[in-house]
Amino acid sequence: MAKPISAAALAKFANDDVRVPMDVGALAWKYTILVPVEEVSFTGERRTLATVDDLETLRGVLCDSFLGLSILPPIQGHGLRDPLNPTSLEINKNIPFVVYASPTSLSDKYFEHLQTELQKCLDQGVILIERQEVFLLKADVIPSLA
Amino acid sequence: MKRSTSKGAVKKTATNSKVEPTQNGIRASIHLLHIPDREARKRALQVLIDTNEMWLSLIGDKYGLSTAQVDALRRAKVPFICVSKTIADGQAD
Repeated sequence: MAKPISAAALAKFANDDVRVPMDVGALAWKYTILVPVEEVSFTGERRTLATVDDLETLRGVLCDSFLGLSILPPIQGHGLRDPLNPTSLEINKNIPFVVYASPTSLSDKYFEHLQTELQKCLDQGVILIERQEVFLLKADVIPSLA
Repeated sequence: MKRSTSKGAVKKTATNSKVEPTQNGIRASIHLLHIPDREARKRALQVLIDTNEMWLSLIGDKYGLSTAQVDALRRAKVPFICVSKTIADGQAD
């Protein structure tokens, strides 16, 4: 049974050390949280997962933890809930929340905690969170533009 | 003196060289808005999802949005405060 996402529960693992130093060239981990908002079953039955209230809570918590985030257009996915059962075909609508974090185990712990909370609240077996390693370039000011 | 380019892509005045962004032009602005009220932010979220474009959310309930997204919020009568915006070449207005 789904329940509202709790800002207090998510904020417990917040830590200044997970923020990436954006003002210098730095290695960062880019996390993409695929927040499921709707699930449509094989029979056409629709189920709302994260509500607008949940999305707003999550947006606020991630902004407080990382100073900001990008929210990408919704993406639609489909697959079998049970790979051995062809009638378990589902269509899912997800909203990707993208955050740059410090490339340390603290960031992984933060997102593991977030994943657990989202799975509990949205009553989902798995909430996908992807991590990519990126380098944030810091260009010197181009003299001709100065 | 005012002159318009073909198809109204940009408007330029002779007295100052400021280029005004068009609504859907390639040189559109980024607007920084503040939405202090939670209920308004929830409505904004729904509107912004429907625009099918990415947006930035910043600490202090501020948003970095495109001109088209700001227009969508206006049409939906979502209350917001304009903090700043870039002009077409990316400089602060």
